[in-house]
Amino acid sequence: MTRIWLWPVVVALLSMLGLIAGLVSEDLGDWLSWGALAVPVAIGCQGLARGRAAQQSRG
Amino acid sequence: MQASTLRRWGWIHKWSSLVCTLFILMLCLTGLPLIFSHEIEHLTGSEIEAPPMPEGTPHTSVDQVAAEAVRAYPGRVPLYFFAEEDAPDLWYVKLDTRVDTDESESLLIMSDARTAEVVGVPNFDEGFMSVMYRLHVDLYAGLAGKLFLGFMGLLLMVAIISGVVLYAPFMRKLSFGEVRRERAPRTRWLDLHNLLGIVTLVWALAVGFTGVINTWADLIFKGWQAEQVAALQAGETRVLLAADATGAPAADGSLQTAVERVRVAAPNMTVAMIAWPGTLRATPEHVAVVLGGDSPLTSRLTQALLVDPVSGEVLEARVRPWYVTALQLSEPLHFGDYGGLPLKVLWALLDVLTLVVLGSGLYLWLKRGAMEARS
Repeated sequence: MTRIWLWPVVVALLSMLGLIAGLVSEDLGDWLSWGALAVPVAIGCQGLARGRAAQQSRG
Repeated sequence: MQASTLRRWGWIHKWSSLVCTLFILMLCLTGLPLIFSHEIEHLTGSEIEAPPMPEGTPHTSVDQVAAEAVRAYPGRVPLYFFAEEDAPDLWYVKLDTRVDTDESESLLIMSDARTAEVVGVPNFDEGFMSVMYRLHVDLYAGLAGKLFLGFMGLLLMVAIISGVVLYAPFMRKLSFGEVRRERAPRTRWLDLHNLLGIVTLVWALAVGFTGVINTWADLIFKGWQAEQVAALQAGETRVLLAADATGAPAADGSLQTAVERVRVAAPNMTVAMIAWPGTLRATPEHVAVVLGGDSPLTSRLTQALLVDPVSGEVLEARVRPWYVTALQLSEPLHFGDYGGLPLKVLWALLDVLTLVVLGSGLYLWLKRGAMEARS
């Protein structure tokens, strides 16, 4: 259970922080926002890149 | 999870997604340029700017701006003045033939707040961005189109939540982020669908749900206005600045003085909109001045005050109800316009990842035959 949900929960909490931080404070809040929301983007893009790499190695 | 429960959630996920997928794909595609609409307007030069003048040039009175606008467009009357945060020297002025109109013949012009000169007429009804906007907001079908897209958004919420329920059983034998690249394309795309779906979860829920709330904006504002008018008629108002209050410019019937008295009554707020007496947002005798705070959060949470230009009395008809607060908070969370360009770029990337989730979901459904045949 923990193994499956640990990362999804971490990413979800960071996303919430990212969505709210920029709204309630400027400067520091904006930086927090960018940093926190970059995490799901980075994980997603890395997953996509691995998927593509697989496609090439098959072809 | 029992096999029957799993099947039931699978059924919910399949059908809620299938019904809304094409519309949500369209919303994600049209939303992508809309994230950058400000930047695109700026780059293509379709943005109207105030002519350069020394910084701090004082503003003329709003009465003067209104008079000049009416002189340029005879037979029209002013309805609303809107201020934009990043263009403090411009007023958006909405004119129409009467104050009590449905705005079907309204005209929006831009006036220089310093000289009262008409600067231009923004062109919102033509071009690529306008098509993107209409497809994204109402499918060219007015309120019905908005409510329809809102319903598609609600289905997306169901699809996302049922997808989260299905995530665990699919991930039993996999570690987080694992993409089984050596397997068949369908397996690889299933893993990617699960991974991208779970990492974009909170963002997609937030943007999706706030989008749904935005489709109710017209209804929400009508409800608030009805409440305000009812409170006013019942005399349930709070006087913020009495007619004979000292420390404020004496009322002289002009709108400029009325607005200045509102500023005295509500310091540390900025004027976001002025509604002329008789319009939908005001009352027959009062000017409505819509104020916002000066931080990213409070500038969205506007409050309308009413002022009688003749007596100078400033009233608060009704404290902003919770559903208007919800709407006003929904706008930035949907647009992603509260954290500069980097936030817009992240918004766009998350939008693209969501597109991949939708596309891969559709692919998994189309290729379901192969899977069923094997099992």
